[in-house]
Amino acid sequence: MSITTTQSTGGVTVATVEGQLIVANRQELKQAIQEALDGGARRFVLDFSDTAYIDSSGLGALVSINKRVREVGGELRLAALNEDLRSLFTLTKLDTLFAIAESANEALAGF
Amino acid sequence: MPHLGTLAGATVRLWRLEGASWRLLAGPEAAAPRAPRSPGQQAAAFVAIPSASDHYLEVVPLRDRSADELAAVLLPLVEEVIQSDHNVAALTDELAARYEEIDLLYSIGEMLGRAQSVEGVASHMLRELSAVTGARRAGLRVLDEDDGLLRLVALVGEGEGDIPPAIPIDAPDDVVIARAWRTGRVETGAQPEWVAGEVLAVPIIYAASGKPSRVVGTLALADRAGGGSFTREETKLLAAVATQVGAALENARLVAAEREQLRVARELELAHDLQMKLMPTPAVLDGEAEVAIHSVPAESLGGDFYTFARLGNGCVGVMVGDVSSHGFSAALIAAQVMAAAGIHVRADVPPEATLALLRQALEDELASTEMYLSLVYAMFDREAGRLSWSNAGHPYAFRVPSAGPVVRLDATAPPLGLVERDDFGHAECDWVFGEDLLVLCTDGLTDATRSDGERYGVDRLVARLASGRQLDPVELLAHVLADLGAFGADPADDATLLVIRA
Repeated sequence: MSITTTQSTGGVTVATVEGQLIVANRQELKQAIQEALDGGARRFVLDFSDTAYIDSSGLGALVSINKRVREVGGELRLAALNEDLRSLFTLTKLDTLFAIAESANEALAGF
Repeated sequence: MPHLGTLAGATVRLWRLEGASWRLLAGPEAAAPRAPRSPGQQAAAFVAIPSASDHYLEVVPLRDRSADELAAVLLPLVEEVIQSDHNVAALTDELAARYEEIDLLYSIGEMLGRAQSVEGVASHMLRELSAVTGARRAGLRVLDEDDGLLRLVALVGEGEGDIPPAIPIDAPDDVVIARAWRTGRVETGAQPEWVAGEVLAVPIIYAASGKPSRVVGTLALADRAGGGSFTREETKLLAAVATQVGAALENARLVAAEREQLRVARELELAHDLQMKLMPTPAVLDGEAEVAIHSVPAESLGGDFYTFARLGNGCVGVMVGDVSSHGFSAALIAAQVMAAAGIHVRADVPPEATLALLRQALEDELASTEMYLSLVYAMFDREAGRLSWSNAGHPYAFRVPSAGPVVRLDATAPPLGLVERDDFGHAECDWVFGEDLLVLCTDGLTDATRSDGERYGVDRLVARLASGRQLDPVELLAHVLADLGAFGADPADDATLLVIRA
């Protein structure tokens, strides 16, 4: 499994993506978040500290997940993007669409 | 028999009683045996042969010898000859039956070899099989994987009962055919509601080399003409035919699949040509700018697109974009962008307004497909000496001036299709016409990855652009592609590189 979800003490669902977020595992991430949403979770942190690369389909999945979470009144935060990924979000202006934190702890503290 | 007589010094005849008359089987001509008599008379002996019913031996001594003694000596010899004769006849019958079976297998092989499909020759094949085995009914069924049914492809012979055209593979065990399919073995039994006599069903198994075998149908015989059970030989014959049918069914399936693949490949080729024709050629710029393009889809169809046009009043527009996927669906979106761009790209429409019009044109399609696209649209204005652009989340746009650093043209908005708003922003800079180069590409180029996992990357691209800044667009394009080739990366995504000098 390249996607792992855990529950923080504050009731926030934290999902980590190991390696890369690409065509091959984007559906797995969407599914994991959807299952958490169906189970009543509303606050999410996607922790990218173990993620080296996100391709365009991965970015599309993030936008779609963000939309679904917002639709039910929830909130999604991205955390621990490496320098390349951070720059990708800046260059594409995607940083204007997401709440981005330096680390998972910072993201959790913000809720 | 005459030789036996010569050796024994007697006339020897072998007779068989057929009904009320005698038939001479061997020995010198005679209308009838001397009247059968009791042993002990001297003139001739006439004895029944114990091991062959209705066969009699007549012995008439030529010299003065006891007919009974001679008959006693000759009887075992004659019995042995008769037994050998019977054995030869039985073996001949057996041989003939095997020849008939071999001929049947050859005929079926030829039929299947010549036929386009098993179904086309199935009835003919079953008739031949029935004739050889003496079965009054024969049926061939092929597995319909989607519905889990054994569908009747051909049925020969007539009789009482109503044989169903389709049998579920999970039918109860008393359905002999379904049982044979499930066990993958020869099965027999009665099926009185459908057919008289015994049913013999064999699975049609196909095993491609190196793959597990699959049961693809059943071949069944029923109502044996001689009554009783089908013999071991008949069962073996049916199994041999089933093996041939299995190979033919599988071959036909493979041929059909290959035909379908060829058809799809031809259509994709046409679609690829069509997609390429949607993109303009450098000739449309008519000397107002020099342009060079390299665009290769990851599959037959891609999600990258580009266009450029003379807009009048000394303006030239150029656009490169990338739909967030590849393959057929991405190509459809790309084609729609090209169609919309053909309408909205004009000198009097500034870049950000053009992107807003494109978003509106594609809104429904992008929402329903969950796709988005990054694109940059730049407009050269020769009179003003400026380049203006709007960039919807496309990170691969670079100004390569004749001197000074390569400059990235920043995104002015997130990718198109992610947010329902039309403020795409706008940026501009001075442009040295005839000297500065604009380079637009897609992530298929920068993300091309080597076998060791290393990506080509933006830094290598920018360094290469800087070192080739004095080249013309065609040369600079080749300069970059040569570097990519030397790096040894294989683009996994659609890859586009466009170099323009206005």
